[in-house]
Amino acid sequence: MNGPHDLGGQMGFGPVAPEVNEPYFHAEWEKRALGITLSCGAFGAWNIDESRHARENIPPADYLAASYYEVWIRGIDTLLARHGFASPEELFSGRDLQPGTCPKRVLTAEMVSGVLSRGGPCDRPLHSEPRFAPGDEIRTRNFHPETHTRLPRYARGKRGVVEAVQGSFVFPDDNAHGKGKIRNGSTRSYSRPMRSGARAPTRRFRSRSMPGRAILSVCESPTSLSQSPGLPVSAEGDPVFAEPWHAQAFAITVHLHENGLFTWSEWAAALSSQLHQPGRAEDGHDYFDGWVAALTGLMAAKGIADEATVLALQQSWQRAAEATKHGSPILRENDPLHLAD
Amino acid sequence: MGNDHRHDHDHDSHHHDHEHDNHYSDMQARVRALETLLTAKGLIDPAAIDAIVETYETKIGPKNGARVVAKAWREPAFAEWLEADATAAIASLGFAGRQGEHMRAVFNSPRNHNLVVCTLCSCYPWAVLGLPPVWYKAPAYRSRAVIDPRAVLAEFGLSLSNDTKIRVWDSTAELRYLVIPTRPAGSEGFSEDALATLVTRDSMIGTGVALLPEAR
Repeated sequence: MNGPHDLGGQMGFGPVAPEVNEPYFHAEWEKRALGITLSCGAFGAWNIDESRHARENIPPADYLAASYYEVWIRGIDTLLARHGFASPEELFSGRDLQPGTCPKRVLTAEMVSGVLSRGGPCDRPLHSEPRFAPGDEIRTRNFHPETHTRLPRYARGKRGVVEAVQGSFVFPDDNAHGKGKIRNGSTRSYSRPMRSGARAPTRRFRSRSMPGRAILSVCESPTSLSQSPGLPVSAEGDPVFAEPWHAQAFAITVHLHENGLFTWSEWAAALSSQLHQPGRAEDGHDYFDGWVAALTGLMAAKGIADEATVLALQQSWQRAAEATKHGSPILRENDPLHLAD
Repeated sequence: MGNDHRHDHDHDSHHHDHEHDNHYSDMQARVRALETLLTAKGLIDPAAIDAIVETYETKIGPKNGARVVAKAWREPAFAEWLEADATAAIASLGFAGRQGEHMRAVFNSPRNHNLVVCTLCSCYPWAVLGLPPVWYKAPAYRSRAVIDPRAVLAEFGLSLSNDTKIRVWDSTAELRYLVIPTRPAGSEGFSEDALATLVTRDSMIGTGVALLPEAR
């Protein structure tokens, strides 16, 4: 977006005023602002591109009047509200009024050094040749997206020569809006790394570092689903998914369980019954087929959707996938038989 | 973004627990409220915030980058590795992680000077330089570094000869740039430790040059 953050080439801000022997922080609240920003980032609910975009959306007069840690705090307010961790009313009042979203993890003191030293690598495997090579003459696009972009205004519509290919990375312009794809490719950024043990959409919470506090009580319920019979888990007890759709199925189940659609024992019984159906693979490679069957069965039993409806929807998605050009996003509108519903 | 921190210190900047002053600035109050709310919700651990602050106050800072530069000055093979794969070369010294995941080193020479900026936000190689200074994040620097770098450098007291070409690196979302300044005259035979004391933070951003041995 052409926001107040896109400063390259502007004038009128006066000379740079470097400070001699500048301290790391100019006020105690700046330290807390840094820590809050990084701690909230550890929830795993948004990526750095989305948080940059939240800052860019601060109204220009406010953005330019704010110190950078203030910009961060305003960005965090936006993200906490957008992702349901705190309501605008709670953020305004500072009072805890209602339960909110459960994060994937809560950063504790002993996790800090590991999290900071791992960072958040954003390179992604690329399975095709880069479109441009060193020496190629190019012209940058001239565009005015209202969404996030890393192409600043001063560099748009400019001719240049490619000097180096620096690697392949997630495309921030998409990633900021939850559509992280590999730059210059149509493969989902997600499809391969998942195989080796991707993060589960929910994690078990460890409250041991904060003894004596009623911590994470609203967040403890998803734990039980990580203990579903037969679910492949990592050494830390987090579910491991071989395919993105496994993670999706898990997340949907967690969501319905959190909303009280079924109890843990109902779920365990439904899943167990599916896993013991004749014809299941011994090596468990069809584990999530059983999972989805258990979920569908429970949804029917609870009157959410009957199996015929779920099956019809499944077939509609399959027709839509067939009808979608390779490399384009699959939308259910692409189903030739789809009627607006 | 105000560059006015120097005139606007919060009273508690040096005394965390020393709050005899009962006036909170807007941001003090705002951030205090946010921390209280998030702690009550079990979403943050105040001890984690302390650990983050301690890390960036004591463990991660320009002294990390200075080690990289000093080693590159002394060891041509390391300098070559740094040029070819800065991420791996820097990680070999134990510096990696947040805001240093993907690195590129750019080398100054008498004819070429490199300057790093982030016009769109505040991208900065935290793993080797620590937290960025206020001016790096402020509009005056971010706006003009890409159109008038020579004048910007003059505001840092750095006047480069007109023969020296200035190359400005506007940080991308993913790559972090580290400037390798030229080794100052008179530092021949210096140990790596002694060389590291000549490497300033600004010389690794490009808004300065390395210190001369006598200026240390």
